[in-house]
Amino acid sequence: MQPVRLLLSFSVSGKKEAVLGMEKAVHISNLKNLKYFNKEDYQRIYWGAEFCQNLISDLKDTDKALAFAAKNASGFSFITPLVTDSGLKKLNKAFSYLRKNNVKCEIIVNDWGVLGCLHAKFNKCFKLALGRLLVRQQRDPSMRTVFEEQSPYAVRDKNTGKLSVIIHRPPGGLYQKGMRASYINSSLLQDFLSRFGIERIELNNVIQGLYLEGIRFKKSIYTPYVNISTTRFCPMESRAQKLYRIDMCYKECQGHYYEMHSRNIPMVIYKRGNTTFYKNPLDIRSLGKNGIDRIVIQPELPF
Amino acid sequence: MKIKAPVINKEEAMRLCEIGVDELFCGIEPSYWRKRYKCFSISQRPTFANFTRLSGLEKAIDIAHRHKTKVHIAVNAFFYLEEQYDMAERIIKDVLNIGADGIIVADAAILLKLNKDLLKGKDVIIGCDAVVFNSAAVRFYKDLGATRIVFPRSMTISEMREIAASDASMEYEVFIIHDLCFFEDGLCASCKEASGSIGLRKDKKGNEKIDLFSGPLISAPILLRGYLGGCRDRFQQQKVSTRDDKDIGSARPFYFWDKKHIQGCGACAIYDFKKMGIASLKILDRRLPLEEKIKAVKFIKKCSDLLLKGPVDKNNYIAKCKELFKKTFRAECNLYDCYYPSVFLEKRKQF
Repeated sequence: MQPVRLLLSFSVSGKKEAVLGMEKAVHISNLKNLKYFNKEDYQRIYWGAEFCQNLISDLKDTDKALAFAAKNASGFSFITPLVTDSGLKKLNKAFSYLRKNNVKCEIIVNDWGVLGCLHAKFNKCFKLALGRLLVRQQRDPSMRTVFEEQSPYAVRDKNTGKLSVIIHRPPGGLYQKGMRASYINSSLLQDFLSRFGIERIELNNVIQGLYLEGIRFKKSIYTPYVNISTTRFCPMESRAQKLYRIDMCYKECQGHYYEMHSRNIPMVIYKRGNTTFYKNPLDIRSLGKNGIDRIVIQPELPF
Repeated sequence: MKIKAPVINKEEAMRLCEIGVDELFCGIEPSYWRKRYKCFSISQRPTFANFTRLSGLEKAIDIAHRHKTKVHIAVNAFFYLEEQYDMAERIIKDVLNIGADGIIVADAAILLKLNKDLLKGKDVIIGCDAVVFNSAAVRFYKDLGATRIVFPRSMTISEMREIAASDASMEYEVFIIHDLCFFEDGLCASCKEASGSIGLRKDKKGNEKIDLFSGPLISAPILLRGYLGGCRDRFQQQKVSTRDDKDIGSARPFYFWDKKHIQGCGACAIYDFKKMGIASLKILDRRLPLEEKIKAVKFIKKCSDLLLKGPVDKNNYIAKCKELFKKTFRAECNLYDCYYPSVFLEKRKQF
């Protein structure tokens, strides 16, 4: 895969430099992709599979990634996907290994069971962040259309032939707020998550913008890919095979991905592994003063 | 095992109770919610798929209780805005006060908000939207007061068995028929409920009105040119190599959700569900026509009853279910519409 062009490497003045006060991380899912890391651009490595438990890295690879991060004086965040009991066992082994080796890293949690387990068995061993699957933003790509003005148009009733003129006006303030908000806007939930040791949340750079008012946690933002939908019925080849597969993994996602086009959605949708994405590169100038202090670059479609 | 069916009005409640459902589930969108938050559904369904008056719901609950049938109320938006929690709490209090037997939630914050005494003796059901895939997640929600977990769609029989065995004090509920989708509701932003179309329809008085699509998370009063609803869209697919980003051929069109409401069946898995102690078999889709709901209840009841007459060979049971399916729905069952294909398939290869 070709690396994503990193607009973020350039400040407004055009000089290549880290954005002031902003930590930059690169998401790497396997050893081969460590090539995307360079000291000048990044201060942190996000390591691991975010969406699929079949792709959780084995301990040897994690160890090599840790050594690489240490050599480059980079921070290390271990991303975990949603898991079944078998995946949880794998993760427990990894957490035990990290604790045993006194690795001071951050764990990104995408499953309530993993959070409960970290709290019960590895309390205060790691810094914890709530992953994109649990933050639950509204990630529908059609939001772009919803939020844009459109010229009036007519609809003809199929039965009566009668025409009606339809005017689309962008939705009102409350609706916009709702579509930009996330699960974490709830102060009750924030208090609750704090008790579990959550310090940070991971955010998609959703097309309709962010509503972050009242969120006390530190915030990371991912670019350029926004995850739309995830499943354990792997959709890579299921349709061709006339079967909804769960536990028959042939890792097709490592060899290819899909670009999908629909006349109704004005952007390309990507499908890799068990997740679909759209691309919305981050414009650093749009961030403003909303407390985001880390940018996570995805040089490839994640899985 | 209980059979649970969706209901949207008291007439449906009566008919479904008469044919012997053990549990009903529904949503409610009272006027005070609609007045303030008309864009936001409280239970992921458009208004017409919910009760709209507490009095109507109370009558349905009375009917159900006369038939010894429980009623669970879905208050299961993925999340609410900070200002909406108070009203959601009020709705839950109201429905429990008129006799509802429990609530279905997807948002842990709702449970944090509610007084534990209010839920005493009631069923607190964690819906599939909360995506509970492992036994640690079951414990997580149990600590919040949950009494039952609804398993998400994409789990194998052995995964469910493992979880059910890990904590027998919890109840578990599974999807059994209709509404099969590739994607997990709780992990999907193009939630299938966005599906719909724009057109004209006649209201009760015969006036023509513009149909609105019900948007994701919401029933949105928004009209868009050519928009047929997120996951019903047809996507042309191009296969691209991860090595060099080059096209390596086209593939069949893809739909996030290519099923009709009346598709997806897991009746053959009832054999395993009974053995693992599943509490309830859920028939999906509140928006389904009543006749289809009745057909589904009768079919699932017949499949369940096959196991009442003593030990049955699993293969025989599956064969009889297939026969019943064909007779009821006038179609052969197939793996693509199968909720739990792991009943039939052994693991071929696991990396």
